Amino acid sequence: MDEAIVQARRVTKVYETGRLRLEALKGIDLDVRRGEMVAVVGPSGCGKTTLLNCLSGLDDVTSGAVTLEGKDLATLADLERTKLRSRRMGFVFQSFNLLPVLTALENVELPLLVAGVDPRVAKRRSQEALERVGLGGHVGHKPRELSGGQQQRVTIARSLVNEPAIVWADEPTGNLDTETGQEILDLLHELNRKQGQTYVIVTHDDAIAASCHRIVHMESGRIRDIQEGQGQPVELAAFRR
Amino acid sequence: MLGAVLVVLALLVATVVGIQAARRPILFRMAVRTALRRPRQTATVVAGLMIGTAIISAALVAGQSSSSAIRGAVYDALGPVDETVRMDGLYFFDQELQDGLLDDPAVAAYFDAAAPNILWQVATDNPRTDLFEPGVQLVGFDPDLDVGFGDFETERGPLDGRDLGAGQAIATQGLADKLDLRVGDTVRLAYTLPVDPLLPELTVFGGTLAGSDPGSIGLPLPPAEQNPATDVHALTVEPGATRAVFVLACGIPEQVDCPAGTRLRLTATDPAGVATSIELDAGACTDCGTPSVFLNVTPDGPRLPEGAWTLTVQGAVAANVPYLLVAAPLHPVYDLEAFQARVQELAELDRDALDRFASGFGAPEEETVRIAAVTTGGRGDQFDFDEALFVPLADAQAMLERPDQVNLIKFSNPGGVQDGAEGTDDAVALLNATLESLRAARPGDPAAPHVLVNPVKQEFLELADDAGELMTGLLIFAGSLSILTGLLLIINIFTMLAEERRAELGMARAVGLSRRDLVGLFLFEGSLYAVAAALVGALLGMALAFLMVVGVNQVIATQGSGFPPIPFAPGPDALPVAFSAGALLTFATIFFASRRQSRLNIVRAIRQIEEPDKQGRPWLLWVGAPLALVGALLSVGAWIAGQFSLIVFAPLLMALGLRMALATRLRRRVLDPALAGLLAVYYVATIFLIGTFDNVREANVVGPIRGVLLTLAVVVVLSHWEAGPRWMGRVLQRARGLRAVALPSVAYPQHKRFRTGMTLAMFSLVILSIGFFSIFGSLFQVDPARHTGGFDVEATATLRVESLDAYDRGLVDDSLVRSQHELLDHSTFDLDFITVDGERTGQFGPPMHHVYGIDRAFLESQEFRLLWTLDDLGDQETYERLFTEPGTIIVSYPYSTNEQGQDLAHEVGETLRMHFGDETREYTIIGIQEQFHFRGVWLPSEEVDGLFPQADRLYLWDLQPGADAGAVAKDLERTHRDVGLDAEPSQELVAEEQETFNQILTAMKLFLGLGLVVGVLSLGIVTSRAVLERRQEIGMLRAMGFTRRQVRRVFFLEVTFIVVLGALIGIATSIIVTYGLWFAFIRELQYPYAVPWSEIGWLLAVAYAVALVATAAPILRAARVAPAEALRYVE
Ligand SMILES: Nc1ncnc2c1ncn2[C@@H]1O[C@H](COP(=O)(O)OP(=O)(O)O)[C@@H](O)[C@H]1O
Ligand SMILES: [Mg+2]
Repeated sequence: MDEAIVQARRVTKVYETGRLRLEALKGIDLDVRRGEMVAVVGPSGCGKTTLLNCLSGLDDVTSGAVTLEGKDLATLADLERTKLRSRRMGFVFQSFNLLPVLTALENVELPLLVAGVDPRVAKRRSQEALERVGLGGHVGHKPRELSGGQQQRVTIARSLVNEPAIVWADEPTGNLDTETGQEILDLLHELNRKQGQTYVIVTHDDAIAASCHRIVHMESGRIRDIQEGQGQPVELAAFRR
Repeated sequence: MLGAVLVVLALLVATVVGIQAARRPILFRMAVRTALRRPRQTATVVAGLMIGTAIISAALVAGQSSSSAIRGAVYDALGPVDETVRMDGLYFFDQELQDGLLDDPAVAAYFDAAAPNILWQVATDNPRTDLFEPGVQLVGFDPDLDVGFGDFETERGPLDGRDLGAGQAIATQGLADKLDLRVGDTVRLAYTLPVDPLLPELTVFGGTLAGSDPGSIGLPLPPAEQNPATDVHALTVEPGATRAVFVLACGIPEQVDCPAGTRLRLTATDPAGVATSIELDAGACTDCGTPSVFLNVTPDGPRLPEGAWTLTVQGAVAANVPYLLVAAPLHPVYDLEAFQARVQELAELDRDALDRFASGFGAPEEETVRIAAVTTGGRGDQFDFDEALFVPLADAQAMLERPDQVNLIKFSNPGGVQDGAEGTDDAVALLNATLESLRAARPGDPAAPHVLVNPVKQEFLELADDAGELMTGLLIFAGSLSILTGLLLIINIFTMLAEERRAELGMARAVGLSRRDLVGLFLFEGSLYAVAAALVGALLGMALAFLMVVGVNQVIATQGSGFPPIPFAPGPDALPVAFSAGALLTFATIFFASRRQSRLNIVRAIRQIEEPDKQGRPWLLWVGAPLALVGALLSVGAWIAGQFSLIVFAPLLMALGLRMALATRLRRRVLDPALAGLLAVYYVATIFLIGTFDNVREANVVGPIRGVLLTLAVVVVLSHWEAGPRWMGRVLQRARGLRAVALPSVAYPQHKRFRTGMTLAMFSLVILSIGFFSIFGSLFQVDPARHTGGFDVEATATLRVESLDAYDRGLVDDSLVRSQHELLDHSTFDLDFITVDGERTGQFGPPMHHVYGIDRAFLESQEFRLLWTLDDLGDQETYERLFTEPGTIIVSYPYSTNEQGQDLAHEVGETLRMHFGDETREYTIIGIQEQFHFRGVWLPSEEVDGLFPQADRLYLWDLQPGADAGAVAKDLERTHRDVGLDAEPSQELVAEEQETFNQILTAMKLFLGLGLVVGVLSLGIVTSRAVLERRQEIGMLRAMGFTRRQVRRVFFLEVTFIVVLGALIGIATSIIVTYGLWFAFIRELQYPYAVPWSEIGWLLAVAYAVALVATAAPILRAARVAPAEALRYVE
C-alpha cells in the first residue's frame, strides 16, 4: 500500500449560522495517496468544497482528524498551517482567483515570494512555470487581458510553481467550455505525470472524473462509494528524492 | 441674510426631491431600503459626508461664540449705560445743556436713569507707599443722579456714593493694587486743565507810537489822558469767546527796531468798564528788536462779556515808531471745517505769538483726595476702567476749573443691561429731538451743535457681531480646502458605492429603469445621506466649536491676561444654517457624482467588466477646439497684458479644450497625464514670474488657487504613472519582510486610479494647506527690532505738557540715551476716519487709527523700513518727500491690508482719505512701512498740528546698545512721574504681539487639521472598502500561504504608499508655492526663506500616525478573513 499523504478519519463539519445548524460533512474517512489524482464528485451542495477546505486545512473540522504528511492539522496553529500551505500545497479554484492588479508573471511569483525565495529566482522560476503551461508569451498580461482558459492556466502555473506535494482543485473547469476544460485537464495530467504531484479535484464533469485514478462519490455529507478511474497512478518511486 | 437664503434654498431642494419621491414611490422605497440594508456602510458614508458641514458649523458657532464673548464684555463694560451724550474729544460743555436735557419731561419719563459725568485723565501718586500710577481715570459723578446706575460694590457692602464728602474719592480695586492703597490714604493727583479747541478771532489795529517828549523817557508813563501817544481802539467782541489774548508789538509791521527804552502799556476795558492792563518796560534792553506786550484776559464766568470793548495803547518812545495790535478773543471752535479756515487765516500772520495760547498746554495742576472706599464692582466697573477714582462732580469741576460744565451725560434705557439696548432707536430719536430744541434755544453756545448722542452700547454690539462674522469668515476661508477635500471625499465615496453596485444597477437598467431613474435612485439615496450627514455634521461642528472655545479659554486662563472666558454660545440660527449649507453642498456633489455613474453600459455592468477608456464623442471636437483656441489666445493676451488671473486660468481653459478636442484621437490615460503634466510645469514656471505683475491683490487670491491646481495636476500625472509604482514595488521587494507584499500593495493603488487619485488629492491638498500656513508662519517670525524703527522705549504722558524736560527729576542715566523724540499722535476709535481706496483697512490690533506727526530730526534717527515706495525711490528720499510734497503720506503695514486682514490689498499710489464729518482730506500713499507696531499714518508735525491742534504726544527713546530697555523705561516713568509718563520697552511689546500672532496661527493650523481628519477618514473609508471588495482575493492569498501578518502588511504598505506620496506632493507644492510668494514679495523684506522642517516632520508623523489609527480597524479585519469563507464569498 502506498503511503497516504492525506488521511481523514471520521471527519465532520457543522456550519452553525444563527439558529440554523447544517451538517455539511457527516463522518468522512478518506486516504489520498501520494502521486494520486483523486476526483470528488457529487450533486451540488453535498459537501465537496467543504471537504476540500477541511482536508487542506483552510477550514477547521468540527470533529475527527485530518493528517497531512503525518501531521495532525488540528494540532497546528494558524501560522503553521499557513506555512504548510505555502510550502506543500497549491490551489486551483473555479473562479480563477488571480489578483486582477498583478500581471500573469507577478501572480505566479507570489507563492514563491511568500515562501521566501529570492525575487530574481522567483521571477525566473515563474517564467518557466508559465512556459510550462504554454503561456510563455503572456507574462506581462493582466488577468483581464487573458481568456478564461489562459487565466486558469496561470492559476495552475501558480499552484505548481513552488513544487507542492498536493494540489487542491475546486471545479477547475467549471467556468470553462468543455473543450477548454479538457485542455486544462490534459495539462493537469501531464503535470501529474511529469512531476508526480498529488491532485484532489472536485468536478461535475463525468469525463474529467473518469480520467482520474480514483473517483470519490459524495452524497449529502457522506462518501457514498469510491471507484477506480481510468487513469493510472504514476510510478512514485521515480520522483523520490 | 446669507443664512436665510441657504435655508430657503435647502427647503426648495427638499420640496423638489419630495415631489419626485411622491411621483416615483418605488424608486424612493428602493433607495431607503438600500440605505438601511447595510447600516454600517451607511454610517461610514454619513461620516464621510458630514465633514464639510461640520467645518461650516464649527466656523459659524465659533464666530457666534466670539461675538457673544465681545457682547459679554460690552455688557460688562457699559453696564446699564445705553447712550451717552458728549462731544468728540470729550470737550466740556455747559451744565445748562445737561439740565435742559435731563429736565425735559419726555426724557425724564423715558429713561431709567440719566446722569452727568466728568471724565479726565490724571496721574496719581501715593505718598505713603511712594507708588505711582501715571494713567488714571478721574470720574466726577453727581451723587444724587448717579444713584440710578447702581451701587459701588465694596468689600464692606454696597455704597451709593451720596455720603462721599468733599475731597474724598472712591478708588477701583485696580488702582488700589497699583498704589497699595488703604482707606484713609491721601492720594496726590497731577493733571492739566482741560482746554477747548480755541481759535482766535483776529482783529488787527495799526498805529504809530508818537515820539513824545524825550524828557519823559525813562520815567513812569504819564497818566493816559495826558499822554499824547495814547491811541484808543474800539473792538467788538462776538458772543461765545471764553477768553481773549491781546498782543502789542512795537516796530511791526515795518520791521523797524524800537528804540531802547521804549515803554508800553496796554489796557483792555470790557463793556461794563472793567479794565485789565499790562505794562512793559523795555528800558533795560539795548537790542530788543520788537518788544511786545501780551495781555491775557479771562472772565469770571464761562464767557467773556460780549459787545463793545476799548483797547488803549500807550507808549513812550524816542521817535515815531509803528506798532501793531492784535486782538484775539478766543472762541471755542468745535467745527473742524471752521477750524481749518481760521488756521489758514492765522497762517498769514506771524503765528508764534498766538501759538502758546491756542495749543492748549498748561502747567500741571495738583490736588489731593482722600480714599474713602475701594470699589470692587458694580458702578465702579461701569466704564471698564481698571484704574479709576470716583469723586463728587463738584470736586471734579473745581479741580478742573470747569464750574458748571461736564463732558458726558449717560443714559440708561428702560430694561436691563442686555435688553436695554433694544430701546436704543427710540432713545436716540428722543434725545436728538430734545437736543435740537435746546440748541435752538442757545444760539450763542458754540458747543451745543456738537454735543451729540452716541448709541454706545448698540455700536459696540454691532462691532461685536461684525467681529464674530469676521471670525466665521476667516475660519471658513481657512477651512475651505478642508471643505473641498470633504467634497472630493463625497465624490470618492459615491464612486465606490456605484462601483460596488454596478451589477445591481445594470440589472435595474436591464429591467427597464431609465437613466434618469438611476439618477433619481442615487439622488434619493443621496439625499437621505445628505440629510443625515448634515444633521450629524452640524451637531459635530458644534461639539468642535465647543472644544475650540474650551481650548481658547484654557489659553486665556494660563496667560492670566484678565480676559473673561469665552462663553460657548451658538446662535439660534447656527443649526439650521449649517444644516442647510451642508445639506446643499452634499446634495449638489452627490448630484454630479451620480450623473457620472448613471452612464453605465448595461451589459458590461452586469458582467462586471470594467468600463473601457471612454471614447470621446465627435461633437466634443467642435466644442473643445474653439475652447482651446480661446484659451490659447487668452493665455497669450494675458502674458502680454500681465493679467495674472488669466495667466493662471487661460491655460487651464486651453488644456480642458484640448482634452475635449483630442478625446477622439488619443486615449484618456495618455491625454490626461500629458495635459496635466504640461500644466504643472507651466504653473511652477509662473510661480517664479509672479513678481513681475502689478496686481498683487489679485495674486493674493489667485496664488493659492494656482497652488491647488498645481497639486491636482501633479496628482493626475502621478496617478496615471504606470511604471512608477511597479518600480517602487520591485525596489521594496528587496527588503526581506516585504518580499511577498510589495507587489500587491503598490499594484492595488495603481489599479484603482480614480480612487487613488482622489485620496491622493485630498491628502496632498490638506498637507498643502497646513504646510503653507506652517512655512508662511515661520517666514513671519519677525525680528522685533525691525518693528520699532530702532527705538527702544515708547511712552505717552497723562499730562499734556509742552516739554517733558521741564518735568525731569533727573533719575535717568543720560549716558544710556542716544536720542529722544516727541511725535504728535492723534488717535481715534472711529474706524471710518481713515479709508484707503474707499475702504476700511486692516487693524492688526485694537480697532483704532493713529495719525503721527514727525519732524526732520526724527528722520535722522528712525529706521522704519519701507516695503514699497512710490516711484521706487529710496526710503530716505521717500521720507524726505513727505516734507516737500504736500498731500503725501506714509503708512504702516496694516494700511496695505483690507478689513479681512488680507495682505497686499493696497499699494503705494492709492489714495488715503481722512474723513472729518462732511469734509475729507486726500493723501497719496508714497510709502508703506514694514512695521505694524506703530499702527498709523505718518505726516509732518506741522500738518498734524494743523489738523489736530490738541493731538497727544508719543515719546520715543533710542538707547545706547546694551542698555536694558525695561529698566530704562521704569526709570523714565519715575523721573517723569509728575506728568504721568507711561513708558514701555518697545521690543518687548512687539514680542508679545508676535506671541499673539503665533497663537492665532496655531489656532488656524489646528482648524486646518480638521482637513487632515477628512483626509485620514477618507483613507479609512477607502481601506475599509478595499477590504470588503478584496475578501475573495485575501482568501486566495491566505490559501496561497500569506500569513495574517503578511495580509496586514499588504494593506499597511498600501496606506503608507498613499500617505507618503500625498505628503510628498503636498509638501513639495507648499514649498514651491511659498517659495514663489517669498520670491515675489518677501524677498525684498530681507527675511530669509526657510522651511520649518521639524514642524513639518511632526506634521507628517502625526498625519501618518492618525492614518494608521484610522485604517487599523479594516486592516485587522482583513487579516482575520477566514480563507475558506472568503473563497466561497461571491459578491
Ligand atoms: N459558511 C457556511 N455556512 C453555512 N452553510 C454552509 C457554509 N458553507 C457551505 N454551507 C452549506 O454546506 C453544504 C455543503 O456545501 P459545499 O461544500 O459548498 O457543497 P458543494 O461544494 O458540494 O456544492 C451546502 O448545503 C452549503 O449550503
Ligand atoms: Mg463547491
